[in-house]
Amino acid sequence: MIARAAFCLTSALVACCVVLGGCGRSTSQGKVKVGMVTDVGGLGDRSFNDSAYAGLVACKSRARAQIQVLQSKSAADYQPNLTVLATERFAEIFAIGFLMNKDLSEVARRFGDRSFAIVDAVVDAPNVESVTFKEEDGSFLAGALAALVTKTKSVAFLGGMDIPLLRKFEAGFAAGTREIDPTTKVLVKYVGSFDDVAAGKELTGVLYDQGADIVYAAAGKAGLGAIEEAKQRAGRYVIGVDSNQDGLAPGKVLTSMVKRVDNAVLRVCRDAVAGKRPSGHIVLGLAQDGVGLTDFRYTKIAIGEANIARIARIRNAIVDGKIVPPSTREELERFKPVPAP
Amino acid sequence: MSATASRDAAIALAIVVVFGSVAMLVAGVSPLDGFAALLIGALGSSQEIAETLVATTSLLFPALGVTLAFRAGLFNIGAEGQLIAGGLVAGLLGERLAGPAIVAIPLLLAAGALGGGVWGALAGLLRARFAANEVIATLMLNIIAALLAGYLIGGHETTPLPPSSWLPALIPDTRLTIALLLALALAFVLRWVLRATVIGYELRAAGDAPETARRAGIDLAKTAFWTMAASGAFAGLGGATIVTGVLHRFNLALSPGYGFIAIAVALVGELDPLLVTVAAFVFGILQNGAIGMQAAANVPRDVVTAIEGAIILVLSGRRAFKR
Repeated sequence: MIARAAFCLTSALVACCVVLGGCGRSTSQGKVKVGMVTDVGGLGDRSFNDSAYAGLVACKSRARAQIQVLQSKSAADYQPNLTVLATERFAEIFAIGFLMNKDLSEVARRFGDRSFAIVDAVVDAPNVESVTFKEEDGSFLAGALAALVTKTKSVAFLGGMDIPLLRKFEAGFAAGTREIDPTTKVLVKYVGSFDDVAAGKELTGVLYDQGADIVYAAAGKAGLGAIEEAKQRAGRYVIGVDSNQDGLAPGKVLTSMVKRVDNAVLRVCRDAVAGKRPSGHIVLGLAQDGVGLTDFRYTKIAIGEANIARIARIRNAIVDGKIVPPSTREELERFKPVPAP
Repeated sequence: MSATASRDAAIALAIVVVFGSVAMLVAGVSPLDGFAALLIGALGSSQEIAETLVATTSLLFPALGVTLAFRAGLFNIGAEGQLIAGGLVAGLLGERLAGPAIVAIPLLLAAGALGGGVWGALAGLLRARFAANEVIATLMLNIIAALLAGYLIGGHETTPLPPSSWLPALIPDTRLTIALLLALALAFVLRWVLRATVIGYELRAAGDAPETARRAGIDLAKTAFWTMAASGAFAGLGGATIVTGVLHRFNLALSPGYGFIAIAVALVGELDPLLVTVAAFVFGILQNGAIGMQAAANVPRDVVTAIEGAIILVLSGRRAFKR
């Protein structure tokens, strides 16, 4: 036993020698440091986190910021990740996703002189910039498009988790179908996770079997499973979300409801490099190009020119305030289609 | 036994150094810088040491549970699910409970231990009644625990616990709580139980020489059942301390795989509760240092995950072959 303890101590000593011998930390070349903490979905989700990362990379090349990404493996990592960036004197620290809401409030309170930003949640603190999107606007267009294209008069919504944020997608989508044709059926299912790709695939199969021919998959990484399932089914489509996912299965992804998290991150990052302090709450909708549909690169023929023109008119009606897409299920119940834009 | 065991620790250290260096070189970072960043990230300031001890605590509870099971000849790879079950019970009860700390905290911790214990006992029951392999049973129960938790809370987390249910901090403004002391105390208790009590003797006999133990009148099925229940209770208690001490709520992503890393911790610690405690600290350094390493030296923290995976694979593989 004593030998074991000695062994453990020796390895600790070896470790210390390594520290003393090679204490060389990477130096910043006088650039502004901007950091980002991903949620447990992490980089490579081809969705939310990747989009935020794209914004950070753009900020690096355009505003010459020095960037750093910390990935989270569990909810217990959010606070240490945010804290490390704060103690390392990063000028702006992004918390990517509403999952970090409470942890960011806590860290922002402890580090009152640092600037933070959170995407998809509102943290009420003077040193936090909150960025949210009008997902219901973009989802409304997705719903309208789905109702125009469906042959089975049945479409579906597949959400990640049944939480208020995702209900904005759901309500907007359902209202959009109603705008085109109130008799179109809208099936709704939730995966219960943003990263379970297998469950996303399976549930999409169920929705197709129930008669829906278009599934709007707002489920982060789990949505990749929906795209996989669509690939194996003739005459079935999926609508992607967050990033432009049209190219993941050309022709099968009708369009993607793009949330320009990248633009939002770039914007806040540039402000930070320019030395601006957080300015509260930014809401990005269709008018600010915060949300929107893609350019239908692979699906123009399937959708048709007339339908594309109709979607453009609906978009303008939302921007002009003539249509106000609902953002909750209660608002959805009260929603009345606006005649013929 | 002790000769092969010290080899286990040596192998683990070799994996850390060799595997880690290679992974860092692949990531384009000098291993010296990488390991330095890892150690500074884990031990560089009192804040960092506190976070390292938070990880140590979260690892030690399930590691003690795994240790107990191993000593009885059972391979419990379900500590992750038991930890989630314990955290879930503590979280669901905690969000409904508002009472003085002196009542609320012991109640929530006991509830967590009970939740994890029931989850472990399920595997124990399958083993005792139907001779079902506990490796498969616990592995499956991990998945069921995660899915059940998602179903029961219907979102990604519960509402936060009232501050009266939070574990008291050991160092102010850190997440290090009295859970560390509780874990350390349990390590001593477990060591004593294994060494100096009849229960401990029967348990070790069932593990070391099951046939002899059976002939000596030890009820192997009963021992397996209670060992799995107790093993699960350790992990469940760990989950409850994460809920009451670290996150102050139950979250579906509350564990980065503590229950699996605990297997490596138990094996590196030679299944001796006190050495397991030391091993938990070493793995706590890896776990928390990974964050600093990623921030300062730009080494992806997946390097540490890969190192941990390699240690589990090699050490449990060695054990399996020895059987």
